[in-house]
Amino acid sequence: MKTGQEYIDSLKEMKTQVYFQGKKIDNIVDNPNFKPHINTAAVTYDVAFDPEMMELATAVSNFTGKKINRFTHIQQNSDDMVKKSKFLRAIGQKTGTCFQRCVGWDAMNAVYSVSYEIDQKYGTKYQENVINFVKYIQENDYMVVGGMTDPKGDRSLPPHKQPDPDVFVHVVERREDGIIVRGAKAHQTGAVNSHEILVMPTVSMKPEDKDFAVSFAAPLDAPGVTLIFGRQTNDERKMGVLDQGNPTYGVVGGEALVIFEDVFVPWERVFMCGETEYAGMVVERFATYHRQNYGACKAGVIDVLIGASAVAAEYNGTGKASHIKDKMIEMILLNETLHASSLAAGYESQPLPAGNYYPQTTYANITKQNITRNHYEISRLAHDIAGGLLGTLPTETDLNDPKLGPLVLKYFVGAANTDTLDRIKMARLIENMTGGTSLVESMHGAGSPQAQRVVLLRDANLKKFKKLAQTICGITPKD
Amino acid sequence: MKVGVKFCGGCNPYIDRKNVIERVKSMLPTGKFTFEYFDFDNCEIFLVINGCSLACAKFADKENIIMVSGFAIDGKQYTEEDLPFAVFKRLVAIASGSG
Repeated sequence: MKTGQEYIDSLKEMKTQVYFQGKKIDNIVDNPNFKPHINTAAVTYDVAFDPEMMELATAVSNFTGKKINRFTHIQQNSDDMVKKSKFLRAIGQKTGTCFQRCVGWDAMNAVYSVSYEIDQKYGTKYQENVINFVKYIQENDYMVVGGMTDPKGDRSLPPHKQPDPDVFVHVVERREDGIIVRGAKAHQTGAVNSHEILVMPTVSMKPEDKDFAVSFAAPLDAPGVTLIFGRQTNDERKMGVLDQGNPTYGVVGGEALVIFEDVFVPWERVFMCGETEYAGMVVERFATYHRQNYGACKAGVIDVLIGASAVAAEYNGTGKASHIKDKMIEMILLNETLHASSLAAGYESQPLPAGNYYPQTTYANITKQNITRNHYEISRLAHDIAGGLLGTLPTETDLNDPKLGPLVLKYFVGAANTDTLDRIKMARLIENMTGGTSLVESMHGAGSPQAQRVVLLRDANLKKFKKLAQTICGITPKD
Repeated sequence: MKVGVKFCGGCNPYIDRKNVIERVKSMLPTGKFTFEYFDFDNCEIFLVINGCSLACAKFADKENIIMVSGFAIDGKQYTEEDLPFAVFKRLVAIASGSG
């Protein structure tokens, strides 16, 4: 297992082609645009050595019997699925933001399960490739990007009918030693500071989409891979400290567009190639694994937000007001509801044919559906409690100015015995945690809201529920 | 006396688990107790510090276990302030053979 520092050192050895604001970035480790995200990811490594967290942070590999970082583990039982939820919450409480590494974890579990089923049907050896890849990741404790989301182009058209086929990653050449792929994956969390990407199809497919039904792993510094880091609402603030709100760990995971320009992938790293009827299965499996997380990592992050709101109220002098307490209750209610459904998805998890465990689908989708609402409502309450200064505070440049700084401190004074600078720090934390990027991530990460609603209706036992009602009314159901 | 210490994973602790152990250590006579967090072979007493009443962390097949579960020790409730002293008393009692 790597420590956080060893992880950071390993990034220096990578030759990832990263661009941001028109410039190629040669040193991502020391670049202020990426440093917070790297710091956050490093926490996922350090916790494995922390006695206070290693009970959750480590697991025993079912392949090697060695102790591994839990982020590289194939889920073996429902205890693992519950620990996943608790583990992610614990880290969320430490970082106050997304720590990126769970996407690749879920991708490995999804592909492990689907490759097994493809092999069963077609006699292929994809799962062997997956196992070798996972063992490689475990041995090196590498960070993996979950490469699910294609740009998709015209959503009304299937991949093979897109005017530009590159809006879906696809195979352009099959060779004896491997495949050549082209296309891109969008919104890739943690990509600039990860080691590998595990690419998966993003939609269900028909036989005509054969070249698009592909899953593989590639190093992020493989020839032909280019990353363009995404704009965030707090870009310029990363050049400062206080106005970031969370200067050590930043806001959200840091997402990039990952472009594949005729990238070679050897066959031993290919986990699906052309088996279109399994594309939808990969999507659903990954999505379900990932949706469980939104009541876990986000619960931990929201714990921080709830705490920040309570502190802000104290600094304002309103901490004892009954309406403030009521708003705190509401925030707690909404957040624990999220965590409860994430835990339920874990407790009710079941094994897949491949043997690894899978969250209960309805509860995982409820978790994700609820975060798309609850996070916004909790943020609204945080804004309500903290006050208008969230939107109007002078900059840290003004605060650091010898003439203006004392004026800022004078006029933003809060309750007695409160350090005004602390009040400003807490306001900045709330402002940044509830700003645009983090809410959008909760809305669309692991699938947009409608995607969960489709699953909820599909999996609901509606036929039985109708019969229950009819029976109680003395109506004979017509089958 | 070697004390094996296991923490729960800390998903949502209600007590400051690290502070509990640090305060217990500060109460103990110097040099009489050592604390082990990774290798529990040859430990004589086992201290589990769970952050809440769910008590996810356990030691299996061991004797002389002191189980902290949030604000409780072996089922008895304490304030967070009194918790370390209560752990200290249990440790000393077990070490002296009277616990």
